[in-house]
Amino acid sequence: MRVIPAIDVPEEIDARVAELALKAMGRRIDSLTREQKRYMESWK
Amino acid sequence: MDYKIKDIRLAGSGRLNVDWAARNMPVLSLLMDEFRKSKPFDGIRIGACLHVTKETAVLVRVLKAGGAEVFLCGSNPLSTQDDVAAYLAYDGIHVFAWKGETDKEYAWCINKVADAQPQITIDDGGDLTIAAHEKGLKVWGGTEETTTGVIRLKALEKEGRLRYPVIAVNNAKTKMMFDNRYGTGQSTIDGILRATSILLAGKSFVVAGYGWCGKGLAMRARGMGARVIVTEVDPVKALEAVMDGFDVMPMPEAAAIGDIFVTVTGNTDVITSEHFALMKDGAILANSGHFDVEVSVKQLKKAAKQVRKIREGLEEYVLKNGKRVYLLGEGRLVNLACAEGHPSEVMQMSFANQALSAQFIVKNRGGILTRLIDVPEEIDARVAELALKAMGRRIDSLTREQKRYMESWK
Repeated sequence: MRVIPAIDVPEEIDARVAELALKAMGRRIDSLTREQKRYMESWK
Repeated sequence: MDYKIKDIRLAGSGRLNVDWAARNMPVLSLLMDEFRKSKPFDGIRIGACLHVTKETAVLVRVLKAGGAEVFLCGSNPLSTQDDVAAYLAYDGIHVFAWKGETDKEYAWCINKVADAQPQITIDDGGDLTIAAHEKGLKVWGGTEETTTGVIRLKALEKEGRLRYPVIAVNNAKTKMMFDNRYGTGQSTIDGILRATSILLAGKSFVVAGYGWCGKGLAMRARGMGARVIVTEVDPVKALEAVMDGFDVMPMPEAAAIGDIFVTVTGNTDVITSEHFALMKDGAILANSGHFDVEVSVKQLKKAAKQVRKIREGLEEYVLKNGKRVYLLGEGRLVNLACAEGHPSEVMQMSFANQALSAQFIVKNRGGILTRLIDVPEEIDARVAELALKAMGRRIDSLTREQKRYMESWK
């Protein structure tokens, strides 16, 4: 995996900006269930 | 010669189909000429787990021209084109694939390829790579074609269980931005239309997931006149969908208004009984992600009081509330189960990355870290150059001053 250079905006800031922008527009989205998170982290 | 296919008598039709695909894959023709002379795979066994389509057959021709002995199985029980498999068997490829394998037969085919002890694995979805790991095979290196496989192998690597280097072909720019976007965009619509023959104009078309596949599909569905709704879990991608001009909302809201639903997330249980219950009578469900878990077929079967086949690739489920929903291609990737997969012109780019990455593994054998690595940038750039050349397009190059400007901070 590629190392993220220190100069990038931290991912959580990037995500937060998008969340705020969506909220400002009154748009709602889905969130992952616990099972979906687990599925994405499994190789089986 | 060891092979297992539907019917060897289909080889003639398969050959015509493969020749037709090859006409639209000039990038692979160029590589084939090169490999025929340089023989990069002389005496090497390559095990491949790919959708057995006419385009895959053209890749197999390239590997064979390079000197490889190729063992091939399908990467999905429903995606094999039986005439193509017959032609490959006739042409001396060890192919183990037919359309409509049971889950047990599917695993048997993968085992046949793994048991050939390939030095290189070319995989689509991760099943062959994981089988090679479970059998403890000594593999020089492998490649992975699709998002789902990359996610699985990342998890394997994270647990410290990756045993040989794998190149994430999926993540090459000349793969992801084209195959996933323009390939999935067109072939998914193709599958839906072949299975249902419906009109898309004026329909509410729900796309679950706005990665490259979702972007391509939403773009093409809009082009056909559908009203497109996108669902997402990633706020950045959701915002992108909004600004691309699509409606964005949570799945429970979309469920109540959609006419057609397609999942392209790489995740599981994206459309479940919670959503089936909200759907309009006549809603159409399809999946274009790698595994058949995105639309929960298990829950759909449980929620139904009656199921019948309407025509090839189209089943009607009557729910307990009396409403009917229609499932395409058993919830398996609709573009392959109900159509022929991606068009040759994009597959030539994905498969040029595969062929060049396999050559890279041979050349750098023993010198690659046991990691999941990106396709080397020079391969990515070369594929784009070859594709432009094949289309007769010319582009600019940087002047010496421009290069210097880009490297300076002043």
